[in-house]
Amino acid sequence: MTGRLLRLHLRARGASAFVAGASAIALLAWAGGTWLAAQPHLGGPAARLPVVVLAPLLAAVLLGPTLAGADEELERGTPLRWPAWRVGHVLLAVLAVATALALTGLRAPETFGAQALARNTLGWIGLVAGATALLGARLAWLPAFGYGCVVYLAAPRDAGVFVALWAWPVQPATAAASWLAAGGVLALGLAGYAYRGSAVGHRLPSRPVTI
Amino acid sequence: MRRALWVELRRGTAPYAALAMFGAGVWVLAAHPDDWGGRWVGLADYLRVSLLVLCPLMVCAGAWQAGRERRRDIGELIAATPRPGWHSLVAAWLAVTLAGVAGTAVAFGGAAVLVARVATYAGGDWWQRAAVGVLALAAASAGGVLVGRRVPLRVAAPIAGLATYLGLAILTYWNAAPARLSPAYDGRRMYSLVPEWVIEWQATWLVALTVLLLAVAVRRWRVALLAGGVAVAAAVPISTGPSWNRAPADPAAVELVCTSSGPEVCLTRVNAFLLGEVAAVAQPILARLDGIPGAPRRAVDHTVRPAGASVAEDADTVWLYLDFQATALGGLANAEDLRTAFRQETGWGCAYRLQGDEFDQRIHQADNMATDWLLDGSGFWAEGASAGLRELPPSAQRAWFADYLDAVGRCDVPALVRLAEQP
Amino acid sequence: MTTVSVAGLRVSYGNRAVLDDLAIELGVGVHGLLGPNGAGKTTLMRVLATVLRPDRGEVRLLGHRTDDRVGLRQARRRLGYLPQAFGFYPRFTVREFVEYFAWLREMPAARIPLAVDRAIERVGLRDRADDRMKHLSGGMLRRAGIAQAIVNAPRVLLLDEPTAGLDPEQRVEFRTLLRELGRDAVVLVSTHLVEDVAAACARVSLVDDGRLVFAGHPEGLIAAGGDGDSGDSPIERGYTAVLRGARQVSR
Repeated sequence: MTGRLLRLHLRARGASAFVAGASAIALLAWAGGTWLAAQPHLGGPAARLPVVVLAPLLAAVLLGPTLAGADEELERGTPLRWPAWRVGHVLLAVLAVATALALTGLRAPETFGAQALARNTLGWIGLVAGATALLGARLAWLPAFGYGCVVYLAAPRDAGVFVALWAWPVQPATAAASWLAAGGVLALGLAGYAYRGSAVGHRLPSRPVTI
Repeated sequence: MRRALWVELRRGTAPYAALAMFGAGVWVLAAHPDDWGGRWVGLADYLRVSLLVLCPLMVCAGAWQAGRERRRDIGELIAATPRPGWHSLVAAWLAVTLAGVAGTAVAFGGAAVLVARVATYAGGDWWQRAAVGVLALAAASAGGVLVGRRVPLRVAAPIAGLATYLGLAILTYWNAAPARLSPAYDGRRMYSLVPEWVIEWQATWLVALTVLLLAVAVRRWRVALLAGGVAVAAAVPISTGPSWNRAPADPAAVELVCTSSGPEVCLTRVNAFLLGEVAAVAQPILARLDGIPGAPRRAVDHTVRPAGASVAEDADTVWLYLDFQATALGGLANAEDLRTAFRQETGWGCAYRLQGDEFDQRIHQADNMATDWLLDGSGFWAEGASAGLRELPPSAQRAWFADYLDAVGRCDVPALVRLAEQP
Repeated sequence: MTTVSVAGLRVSYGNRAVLDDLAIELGVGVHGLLGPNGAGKTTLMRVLATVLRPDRGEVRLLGHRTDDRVGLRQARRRLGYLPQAFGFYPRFTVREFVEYFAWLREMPAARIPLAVDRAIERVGLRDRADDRMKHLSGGMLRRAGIAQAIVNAPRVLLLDEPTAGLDPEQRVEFRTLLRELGRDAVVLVSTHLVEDVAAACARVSLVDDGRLVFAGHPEGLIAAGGDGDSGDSPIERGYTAVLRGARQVSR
């Protein structure tokens, strides 16, 4: 029964579109990363930084719409153990995306490769999950998008624990604090999303909420 | 149109776009004030560098605004009205663009106030460069409007934004001629003049691109064709013309401004706002070197060093690298970096040239002593190394340093070892 | 005087014809459009609102053919439309929303402020005019939708299920508004509430399975019903009788 429920749940949340999108992103990340790493004048594998920041971010943005059903309140009115389902949903996505993206960065995995891709997947998905709890699935992409856009250019040239904490997406995988930050964001986002689900904004009377 | 524009400015995506652009602008400006502090051209260039962030935000805002009809399921109502579709679309685009540009202008305007307080060079083509940046923002929001209108995807706005980001990032990396079509550039061209034809063609290219994107969004194919033709016509000379990366220097910008008293310290007019603070660091060091044979007698802005500049390379001069040396308020960011320039003069080159067996730790010791003496006992990494030397009479100290310079110049290892053990 | 005329209209979705060879003529006054779910009422409304292009047939609004671009634009200036599923911008105030549609309907700028105030007043939303749309109740939203439809003083007004979500008191007021509007415009009201038709409409058309099966006065529809027909009111009995008769003929 749970198997059928799981299938229906994934269908209701548009999982197939997400899988297609995430696969496309993984392919692009592989192509982009390989190209950048092969440019000696850019510094080799270290030049993959934009891919490492943006590929997991794109995947997390695509995950956003799957974090809420067509009618959140209707779903909440059912006796299903939603917190467990929500945690499972997000963790499954983290596992799938992190694995797929890490496979694209196996060449020199320690310099802006597989490890950093996995770390950023944790962080970005955590941020999207947390934003879903606060803003609703419709706008869940907003904080991650805004932060992702700015952090790349605004990251200071010097390094330090504090910088590694707030600029975790652009840190080398060896910076332990960046893993701490990304893991912390995932834990917080996951907890918020598990507890609250997708935020329900102003319900527009007389018609379903359009997304 | 004014009525619709006003409503969109207040109730559409516009206010959020303004806020986002302001926030991003302030953040980016605050992150690297050394790139723009005290320099108009630096600020204009920094706007162009920041387009890497600002354009994706504009694309996202435009797409979100234009996707509203679909999100709110209002297409049916609008389809029954007589007004041509492009009116409301242009109103929506204009609202987002004006708001976004206003947000950016407030952030960069704040920085401009700081620059205006101290800037010593207001010439050059800085405002033309900034204007091209503004046109790029308008083109970005037009691209967003096109995506929002045509792509029925719930996450079309962020995906379009991130794709723009990735596209611009790749263009800045891509070392090929077509990459010059990107309005966001990587490098700083603070001391040169971008050729006028480049700025004119870039402006034409961006305006034509904006019209093209909007025309495709409202399916005005004839207008799109025309704008596309103009865009291609402008793109060809930009991407096939001679590279302007090595544009000729702006003679007024690199004109030297020198101290009127004490040992000579000269900075280019662009960096002249730092002259007071730089002189405060450099003059005491130059004063210590005064009269020592073979020692530099003046410090000059590194910018004029390349070929074709007014000052020839000579051993009399210490070159000061000032590109990242300004704070937001126009002060000197890091005096230690300047002192490093003098440390170079103390001949570290010799220690580097020696390999393996020839190398003697005492050479480092001599270098450290020289550096510390030169910097009056505050040598970076070598603090206190010259304590013994500085106990000698001043004339003996100077003689030691003259011997040291002589030995380093010839890379005379026994002489350096002797000097290290001497005092 | 005929101001809306439709002849030989055919609309199909895929192979299924939703409207087939439909002809209808409407003059000034309030017209009710009745029919079961799926009969083609909304499709007819959408064709008349010029948002759906028919496969075949001629549609004339106020003398303009809707397949002619210039005529279409002229007709749309004098057209008011409230769709069944009606979208809106939640952050707009009622006034801004109505004003925006006045602009979209190409009203002369100088006339807009007064026309907006008057439209809002006529639907009884004057004290909520500066509230955001997202703060309105379902009935108020419906009335704001009616306000945008009447802001340009349309000569052809198409209202698809306008009374859904209105309370009984508002429906009574709405019928009064309808009669007022019907004095100098063609008002076509699609509805399931046959008592609205009996109370407010001068003429009534009944559509079933894509065809027009009745057109006439409400009294005519009432007269078609007998005691044996199902329904709680004379007009409901007439409605079921006409439908039953039409379905027997088509078999």
